[in-house]
Order: sequence, then structure tokens, then C-alpha cells
Amino acid sequence: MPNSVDVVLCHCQEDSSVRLDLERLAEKLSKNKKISRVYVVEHLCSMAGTKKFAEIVQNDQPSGLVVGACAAETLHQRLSPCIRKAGLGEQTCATVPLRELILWSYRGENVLQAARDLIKMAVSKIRNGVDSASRTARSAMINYLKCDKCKRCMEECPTGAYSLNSEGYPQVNQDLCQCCGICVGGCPIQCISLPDLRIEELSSEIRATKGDGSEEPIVMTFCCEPLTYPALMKEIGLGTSLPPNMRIIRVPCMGAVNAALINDALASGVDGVLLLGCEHGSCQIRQGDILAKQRLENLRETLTRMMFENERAQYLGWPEEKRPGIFVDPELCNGCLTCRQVCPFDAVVPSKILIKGKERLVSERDPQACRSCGICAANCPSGACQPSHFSDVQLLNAMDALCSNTVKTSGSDTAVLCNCSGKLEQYLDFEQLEESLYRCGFNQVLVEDRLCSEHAWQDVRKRLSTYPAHGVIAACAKDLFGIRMQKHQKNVGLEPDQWSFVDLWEKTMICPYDRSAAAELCFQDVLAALAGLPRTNGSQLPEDGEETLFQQQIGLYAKTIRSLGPNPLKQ
Amino acid sequence: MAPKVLLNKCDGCKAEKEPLCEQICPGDLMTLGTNGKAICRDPRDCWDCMSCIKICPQGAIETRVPYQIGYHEAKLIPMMGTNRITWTCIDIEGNVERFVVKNHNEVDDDNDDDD
Repeated sequence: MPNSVDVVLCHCQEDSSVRLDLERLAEKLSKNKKISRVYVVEHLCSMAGTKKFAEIVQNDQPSGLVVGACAAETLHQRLSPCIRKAGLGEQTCATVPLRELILWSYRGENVLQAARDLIKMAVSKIRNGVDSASRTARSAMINYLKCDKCKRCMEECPTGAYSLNSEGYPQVNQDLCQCCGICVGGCPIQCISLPDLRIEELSSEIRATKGDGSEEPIVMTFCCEPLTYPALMKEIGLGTSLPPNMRIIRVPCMGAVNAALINDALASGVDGVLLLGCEHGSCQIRQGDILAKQRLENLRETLTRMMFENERAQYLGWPEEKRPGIFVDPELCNGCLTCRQVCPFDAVVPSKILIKGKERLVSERDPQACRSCGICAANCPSGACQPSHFSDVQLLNAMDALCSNTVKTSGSDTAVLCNCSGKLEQYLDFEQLEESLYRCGFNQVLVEDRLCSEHAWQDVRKRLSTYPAHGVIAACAKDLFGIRMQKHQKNVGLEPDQWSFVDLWEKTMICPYDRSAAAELCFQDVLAALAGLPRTNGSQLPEDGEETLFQQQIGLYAKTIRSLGPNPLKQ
Repeated sequence: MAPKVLLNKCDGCKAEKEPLCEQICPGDLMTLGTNGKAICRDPRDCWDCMSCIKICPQGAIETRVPYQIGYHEAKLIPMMGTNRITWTCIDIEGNVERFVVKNHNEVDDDNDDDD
């Protein structure tokens, strides 16, 4: 059991960091006996920050690490080489998205205590982890000391990865196992674990939560990695605030939530447990949602018998994100239906339409079944099928831009580059980049600090001399910040659909080789992004003041929990 | 009092030859019935050890508190966590009492000491 856990907090000098006093948080955390040292490092994502982090890991040789910063997944990838280099396992480090969960979505009073609660949950999780040496497996692992051969894992595994060995114990086929965790959730004696999912860890994480000290109910929310966790982060990016004491646990699939975890949560005084999974039948891993609902129903029945309000444990189905789809040009389609033969999802529906007075057979897509994979587009002999995001013309333009350094700009294009508080300046010659972009016909090139904040965009709006038709943003963490920037753009009166995005930070900072070459590549990427501008990127930003589906559902759930009062099992 | 199997919840451990309750029962009383659901074959021999109730992954077995202590409305229901069991005891008047028992799984418990 790791006994010396270090906490590293990233100080990002963001405007909103006024809300969270990191120095005080560090001071409070250092008094905790379970945490050996607390560091505050500036810009963990920068070269200097990563170097400092590597030094800390090398010097201290902690048995566990908790990092509180932003964009947790990207940062984890950036930091994991340092962790591996120091001889630690990747799983001994947990990243807490403090910026998303606290600065962006927390609207309560006790900011400090809420942040401390999140860090403490992660520390508890790390402290109950096994050492990294036994985590080399890439599939589910069974503790044969505990297993009593009930074979439930074998019955429920969606890929049939389980078989019986000569002694009658289940064994995992490493090639078939997709680490979905359905066996972990179903195991009645909790003897199965995944490389990055152990029930002991999750349960101690759950039990460590104390809330932010206010009267608000504590809601433990399980999110699945393929769908609801990214969707939730997107919601947060758009500025949705969460209930103050909502705590998020990531699991690979809803089927990985063991009933013991829900019991643990309820027994330790959590007011509500919410399983945030996909809508009925749309589980990407297969049957995860169905199994989770079944198990939850059983548990809820037992809770009723125990005279315990069963509304506290609920499953909430999240609708799948709408895909951009395939665009079929009825003028070009000759009705050969090659697409129908190659479509892996049976999404092609032949239909008859009237064109110039003649009835003709064309292919259409079932929007429910179509996954926008583009296989039909690659096979279409007449070029009628085009993915809405990557039409042939867009891709060819982008390739042209990458190869030739030239691009046809309309003369009113704008590039906005994010400098990230001077962080990128150290590695990237912005002046040179600006110059070459101007030479390529950009109308305006603006370098701005912290595009993820709204006031930066207000500044951009002021500096813009003309209203740009198209534009390119070059910044970091596209998935997370892209959507937030769209929101800001909309707020300052720009049209987000006409802008495209380049991962400037990932392209230059993460590149371990020649940085000037990377910068050049980045310049071409900016051009390529401009050339490949989608007709529409399909973003459906909610109108201001309009409640999103998520807000409605979570609001309703929080209201139910609030009306139930505190958990009777709280001690 | 014999354990009662809730037929709508029991899945016969997915019709395995030996369901978990059969494996765990110290008196070897539980078995699979012809309908593929668990059944207690000799109710009089059961000594209410509650093993089957605790192990059942579906929460499909219920036991009543013995006649000498309660009456048929009185219940004792465990809720299994990873390192503790939360018991709910309901007596014949409907009074509820809950208590928590730790088991032997070693997990480091959180005691706040930094306030």
C-alpha cells in the first residue's frame, strides 16, 4: 500500500484562479497525515513545468502522486513519461481536473473545501492501489484466492473472453478482453479487477468524500468513459454548473459498477448515487447498460425491503451525440447501392425520389444506424456520398496546403493564435509565424493570451478590424477547450461554425524533436485547417438561458435527493 | 426459519450447475429447483446463518427472523459493501435499526485529521 503520496498542484495564473487560493489549499493539504509533500508548480503543461515535475518525482520517489490541474487526460499523457522514467507505474498517478470541476462548474460557497475534497478522494484512491509491478497485464485479472468458480463473468462477458482452466477456474483470453469491466461489475465476491480499475480503489475513493461542508446533498455520479464522461466535460466546457457536491467517478462502462460500490456509497452517507450511462441499447461495449439497469433494479428492490428510499440510486440514460452524418448528393447518385453492400452498420436505405420529373432510386441513410465512418464514401463510384465533415474537396485542399505552403484565402480570413500566458513564446517564434501567415493572404493574425477565458475573446473582438468570414484558432486541448471557445465566440458575436481549430500546443510542445520544424508544421496545419473548413461543423450550441437536457435531468434528480433529506445511514 | 427465494429476482446464477448459495451453505441445504431457481430443500434444518443471503449477487434471498425472537413480519437484511456490511433490522412493529459491521478486507479508512 503506497504510504507516501505527493500532491502537485498546477498554478495556471488564469483569471479565475482568484477564486481558488492554491497556496492556502496547499497549506491545508500539507497538514493531512496521508499526504507527505505538497508542491505548487507553475504551468505543468509547459516544458519547464514538466521538468520540475520530473525532478520532484526523481528526488522524492513517492509511492503515489496526485496532480491537480486542468485537462486531466491530456496532461496525464504528458506526465506519464516522467512517472515511468522514475520507475513508477502510470496507475500510481491520478490527475484531478481541478479547473473543470472547480473553476468552471462549481458555484457553491466553499471553493477551498470542495477542491480539498476532490484531492483527498484521489489521495485515498492512490493509497489503496497496489504497486505498479502487478499492473502490467492488459486484461482483466482474477484473484484466484477469492474466486469461487461461480462463472458469472463467463456468462456476462460480451466478447466471450472467458474460458475455464483445468481446475474449473475462469481464465481471460488477453486478445479478446476489451477491458470493459462488465465482469468486475458482476462479480459477487469482487475478485476481478482491471489494470486501471480496482474495486478497493474506487470504494476508498467513494468513502473519502466528505462534501464541501455545506448542506447540499452529496451525489456520487458514475460516468462511462466512451460516452458520458466526455459529454459531461463538454457540458462543463459550455459553462454548465454542477450541483456543488456532485462527485464524478470514471468507469469504462456502466456495467463495471459493482453493486458493492453503490452499497458502500450509501452506507458511508452519500445522499444519492447516479449511474450516468447511455440510453437503452446504445452501449458501445454491448449490453453494459442493460446489465447495469438489471443489477440496479435488484438493488433497489432490496433497498425498499430495507425501508430505505430507493430513489437515491438511479440510472440516467444519456442520449448519444448526434453524428454529422453522410451527405448523399441526389444529383450524382446513380442508385447502384454499392454503399449498401459495404456498410458495416446496415444504415443504407434505398429510396425513390423525383428528380426533374423522373423517379429515380437513390441511397439514403438511416440517421440512427449511420456512424459516419465514411466507408461508403470511399467505395462510392460516382462520388455522391460524402462525409459531412471531410468531403473529398476539403481533404484535397488540406493536403494541397500541407504540401505546397499556398492556400487560396478569401482575403478576409483571420487566424487567432493562443500564446497561453507566454508559455508558447519560449518555443515558437510567433513573429515569424505571423509573418508567414500574412504572406499567405491572411487578413489578420492575432496573438492572444488564454483563449480559454472569455475576456480574451472580448479583446479579440475589439482588435478585429473587419468582421471575418472564416477563421482559424490555434490553441490547445481541442476536445475540451474547442467547445468552450465556441461558446465564448458566440458570446462576443462571432460565428463559431465558420472557424476551425488547430492543436498548436500538442503539435509543438509535446513534440520531443526539432521544435522549429514542429512550428513550421504547425503553420501548415493552420493553412490546412483553413482550406479544409467544414461546411458546418454541426455544433449545436444551446441558446443563452436555454436549459440543456443535462441540466434538466440532473436538476430533477438533485431536487428528488434534496426532498428526501440527508441519508439515514450517515453517521 | 427457512430462507425464502424471491423467484422474480433469482436467476439461478445464470443456470450454472452449482449456484453460489449452494456452494456457500454450510448445511448443504440450497439447491437448484426444476424451474432453474434456487430452493431450500429442507427448511427445518436451516439454522439462519445468513450466508446465502449475503452471497447472493441478485439479492434474491430473504430470511425472516426466527419465531422465538421476532415474528413473521420481522426482517434482517444485509447490504454488502466492499469492506463492511450494513444490517437493517426491522421488528414486528416496523421499527428500523441499522448497524454496520466491518469485514476482513483490508482497506485504509479515512479519518479526517487535517481540519
